[in-house]
Amino acid sequence: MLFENNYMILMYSLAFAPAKCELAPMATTHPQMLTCNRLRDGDILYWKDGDWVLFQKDGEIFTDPAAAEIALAAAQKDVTGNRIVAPYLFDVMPDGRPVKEREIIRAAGPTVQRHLGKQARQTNGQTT
Amino acid sequence: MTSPHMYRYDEFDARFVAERVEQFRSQVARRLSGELTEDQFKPLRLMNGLYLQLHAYMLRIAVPYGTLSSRQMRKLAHIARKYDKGFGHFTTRTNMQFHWIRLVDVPDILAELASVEMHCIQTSGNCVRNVTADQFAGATAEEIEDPRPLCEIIRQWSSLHPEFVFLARKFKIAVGATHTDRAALQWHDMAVQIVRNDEGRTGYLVMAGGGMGRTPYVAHVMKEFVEREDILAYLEAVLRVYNMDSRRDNIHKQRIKILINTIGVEEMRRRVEREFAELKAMGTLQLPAEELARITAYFAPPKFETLPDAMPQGDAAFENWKKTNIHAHRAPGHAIATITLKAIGQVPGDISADQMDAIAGMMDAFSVGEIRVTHEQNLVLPHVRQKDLPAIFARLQALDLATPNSGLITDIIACPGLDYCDLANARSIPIAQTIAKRFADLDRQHAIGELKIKISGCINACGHHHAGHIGILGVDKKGVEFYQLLLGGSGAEDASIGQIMGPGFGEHEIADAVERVVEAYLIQRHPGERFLDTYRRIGMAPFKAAAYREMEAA
Repeated sequence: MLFENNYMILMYSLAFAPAKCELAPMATTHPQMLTCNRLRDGDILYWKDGDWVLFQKDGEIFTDPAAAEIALAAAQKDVTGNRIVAPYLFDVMPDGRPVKEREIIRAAGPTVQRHLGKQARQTNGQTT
Repeated sequence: MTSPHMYRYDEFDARFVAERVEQFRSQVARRLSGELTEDQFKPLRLMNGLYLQLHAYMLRIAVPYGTLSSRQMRKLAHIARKYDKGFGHFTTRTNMQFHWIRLVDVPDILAELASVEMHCIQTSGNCVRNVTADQFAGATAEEIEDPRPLCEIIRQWSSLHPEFVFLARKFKIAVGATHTDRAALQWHDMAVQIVRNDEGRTGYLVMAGGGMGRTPYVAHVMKEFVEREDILAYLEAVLRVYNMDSRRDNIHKQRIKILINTIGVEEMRRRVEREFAELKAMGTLQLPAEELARITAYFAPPKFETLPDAMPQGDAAFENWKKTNIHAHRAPGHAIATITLKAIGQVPGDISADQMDAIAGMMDAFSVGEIRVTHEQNLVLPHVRQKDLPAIFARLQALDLATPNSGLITDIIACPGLDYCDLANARSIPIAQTIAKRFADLDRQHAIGELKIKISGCINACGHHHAGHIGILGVDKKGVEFYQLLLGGSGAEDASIGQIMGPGFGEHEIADAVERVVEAYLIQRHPGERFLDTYRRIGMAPFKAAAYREMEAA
């Protein structure tokens, strides 16, 4: 019984575990955006024209993967400058809507508490 | 009535925690100034329970063996208001998490916590985590003795234990002292059950190798009876074998459950016995009776009033609450009251600062200033007078905390899931809310009886889905949330691992699937059978047929 279950779990793991790994190496056809967290308070930021903005809808959309990589490399100055942590690229639709649920929730805030997160704040093109 | 019967820091504890706060204050300052890189800082913040989650930093505060004083509860309310968004979240490890924390505030928060003898040490990282216990400890007549003195001894022994600061993986310990297991003992890396042997002597049954996550296992009994004075030596022997012999090359194979199930329980016992004999011979870990007595004295039971057993009667709402949320107390005229943080449609385990303050007042007024946090994300007033129950119920009603669903289908465990967690693949909370609303009718809940639903948003299983009578596991299927259904798990004394039913369900299908499974149970059950019993009798097939029936028709 125990073994059978573990086998099932293993099979399950093999079936689903690569889901996360798919993100990085898969050749993407989607446009991308660049995001990070601000060091001092953890707030989520998005890249725009060499700097960071607070709202995903104000962020820059890269249709050219090379341009996205250049922005990611440029963002390293803010990592070494101790302004931000963990910058990464993520896929969006051509209209800027994130492809993955994770990034939709990250950009908006918790779906179960609509009064919290970015969705509760005024978006006015404000930068950091 | 406001002096809780719990451990109080001595001068060493107080100094140690205060020094840790100042150490972390300096570390944060050095991180902000750039003296420390993120790679250097991350392990330091994790040692203080500080994660970077989906929206912000998250601070996990230890609630040792789930016991809180009213003073501590008020401090948590204050922190929620001043530094967070006015609420906190109780976890399945009986800790409290704040999800909207700013890094720059954390040293001040830790100082505030230290002022009420709390901290975040070892709430993260590959070390011995917060020790959990039966939430009815010290209050139930079933127990051989209060398990919390041993919890406190384990806490002191394992806090910054030099040999076990960098284990292969995290290590979770629970302690119980009753046949009825309310602390999910068999799902822990190591667990101690306080037992009495044939000679009438009290000692400890030690289990190890339980765990959820990617490869779930129920614990093995390592030793049926460990003498009182030997318990730390034995626990240390288990941890030492684990620390020395565990793999460290594959994060998915580094928990003690993998070691034990790879080398076999007999070989594990043999290795532990060898270390145990050595440790015993050295004698340095023998637990002196006077030290046990000193710690036990902190947890001495309150002086209960001499009262007759006289359970008050009330209206239907009160009677319904009594039916599920009140349990027998060791002292006549008293009761144990469970406050579920599971109002229909609310976030399981969430509590507002105002509710925390109000509950602190109730702890002082009704329960010797003390409360317990349960692994099912509920609270328990451990020592209340039966005659106070109507007043307690009325106050809870005003706080929207009088939901009469303890142990019922709407008393759902759910991890924060993709709404908050950086590791999650899918949301848990909205699924819990939808199912709770679906089964909100109380008559229907009573007709269904005991049914534990547990939901995790990823394979790491913080929501204990393997141990749910009905477990739900959120997965990511090409960027879309999908939900696996598991049946037949248990976190109680009859622990078992839930079996995966088959292909997953979409976000809008999962509640329907659960409902069809429950309907199948109601048709199939014999009188008096719980869902779990029926499942164990008839197996997966009838439930599977019911769950997928509508989908095939569609």
